[in-house]
Amino acid sequence: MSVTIDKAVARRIAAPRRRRPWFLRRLNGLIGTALLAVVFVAALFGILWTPYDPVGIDIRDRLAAPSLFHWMGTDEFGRDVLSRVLAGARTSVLVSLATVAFAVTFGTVIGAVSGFFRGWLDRLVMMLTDALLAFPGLLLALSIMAIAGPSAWGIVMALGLAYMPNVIRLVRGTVLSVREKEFAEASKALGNSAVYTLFRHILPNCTAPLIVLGTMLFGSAILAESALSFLGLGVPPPAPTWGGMLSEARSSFVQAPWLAVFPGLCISIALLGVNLFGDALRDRLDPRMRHL
Amino acid sequence: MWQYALKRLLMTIPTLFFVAVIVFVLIRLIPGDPVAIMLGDHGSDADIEALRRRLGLDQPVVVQFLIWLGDVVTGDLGVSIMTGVPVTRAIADGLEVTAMITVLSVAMAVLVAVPAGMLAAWRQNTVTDFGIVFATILFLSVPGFWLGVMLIFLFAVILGWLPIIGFVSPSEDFAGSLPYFVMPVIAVALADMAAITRMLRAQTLEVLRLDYVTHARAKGLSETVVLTRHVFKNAFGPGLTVIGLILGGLLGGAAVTETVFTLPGVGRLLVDAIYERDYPVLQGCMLFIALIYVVVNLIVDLLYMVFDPRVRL
Repeated sequence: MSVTIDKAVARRIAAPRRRRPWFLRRLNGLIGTALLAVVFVAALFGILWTPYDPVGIDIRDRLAAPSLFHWMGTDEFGRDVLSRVLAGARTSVLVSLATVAFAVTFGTVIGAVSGFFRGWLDRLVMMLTDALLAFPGLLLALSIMAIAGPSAWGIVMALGLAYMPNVIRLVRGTVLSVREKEFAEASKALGNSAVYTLFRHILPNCTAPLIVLGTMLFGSAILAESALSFLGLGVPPPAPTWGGMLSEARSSFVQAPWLAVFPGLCISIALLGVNLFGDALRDRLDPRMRHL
Repeated sequence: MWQYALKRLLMTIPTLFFVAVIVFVLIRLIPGDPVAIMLGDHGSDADIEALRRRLGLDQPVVVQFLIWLGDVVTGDLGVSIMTGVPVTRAIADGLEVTAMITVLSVAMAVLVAVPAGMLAAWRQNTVTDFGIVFATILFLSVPGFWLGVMLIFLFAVILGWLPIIGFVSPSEDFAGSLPYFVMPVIAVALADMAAITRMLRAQTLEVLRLDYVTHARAKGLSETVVLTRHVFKNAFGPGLTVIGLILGGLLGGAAVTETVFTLPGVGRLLVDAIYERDYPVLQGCMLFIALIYVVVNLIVDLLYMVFDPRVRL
């Protein structure tokens, strides 16, 4: 007996899965990498050389529009915006890198020890991370900044502590699921110490998800650093930061819109780069999350 | 099901306790003697000692914590050092602004993101899909406070369509207050909209592949019915978690948003408290925001049961 199926229905049921064209699959990662490279090169310029002194005041040249001499114009103190944007890139990148390094290093150790040795320590760590996660990240960072006072290291501490629970959870989860596997047992049976087994055989399983998480935290740190500086609770002036420049720009908005445009554009470019790069990375390293 | 709900409810108690511990410890860690700050330059040593005794600061730390916790549980968050207003009163005043922005932006984000995310997944790897995905990545990368500054420049300064100076309280004149919330809500909602869209697209893609969807289609149901009645329910569950996280982000980010648009909300109260070293207010705001966040996450988890009966097991 033959069954006839409505052609339209058949097509709908057995629709061939369209594959994303290859150039689009690669494009995201390429653009992301390129944008991130721009940001890092800008940061490098900020460290090594800027066209003008980023904090050099020149009263005769106040609020000058973008020109050949000042590509991005000057601010209300006559400081060159391009130089300040480059120096701001340095601050943003260094602070964010340090934040991620801080959160990942300590988070990994705490999470690994907690998940591997279990017991009361694990319960205590979990309760503390749960409580820390009960604070929105930026709120926690704001409060820690109130203690540390505005400084670059203050931000690294504040954001690092705020992000650490995420790392702890990720590492602990992986360690918990891996520690019962045969190869972990085998390492113990061979007479290896617990610490050796943990670092040599169990922790490497966290590498891929940690890289993905670290990339995303880097983006969050750039955004949070500029938000804190915008509120005047970040790196204190006159040191140039993108958030601080944006905050200062509000007073001379009407005469000099470029003051608000360029720093914001920089933050967006950096975030766009991180987001695209992070997506591509996740596709590569963590196939379960491919569609996100 | 009720057992799960009760268990989840009880789990919040240790969390809230540790939240209180963290807030208490953080405030104690702030350098400087609060009593000396309260008295200003006029306090003699005897005055400082007397006030210290009156505030209970001469007690051991654990006793101080228990006394403070007792006050907090009974709803007494102390009095602002700067204005003398009870902290609960100051938070209640700011809450209407923060709640307006938060509720309006989440509502707007969900209303746009759900259809957009499902559409993108349904038309996967077409121009529509690429367009939506591209827009989400772009929106996710524009910081809300910069967008806010740009919106003010365009709509308030150049076009003059929306007010930026002054403020009308929503509880006094709801319709009149709305223009003050248009820009803050747009500035905040775009990134959240993008986040929810991405989540929903990913979930819809997962669900569309399942057999019961094929079955629903094979039954001859129209695509609209399949998507709204069969796919949506399963795809929206994890979206709820994202919405919970977003609410937390909004509450934390309220400080920034309310600063950009000079709105008198809880976030602004918190930032001012940091500037002015007004510890009771800072402490109260932190506790309050964390409490709201914990409750929101609780509600999200309980709603999960409604959307996904498997959780109840």
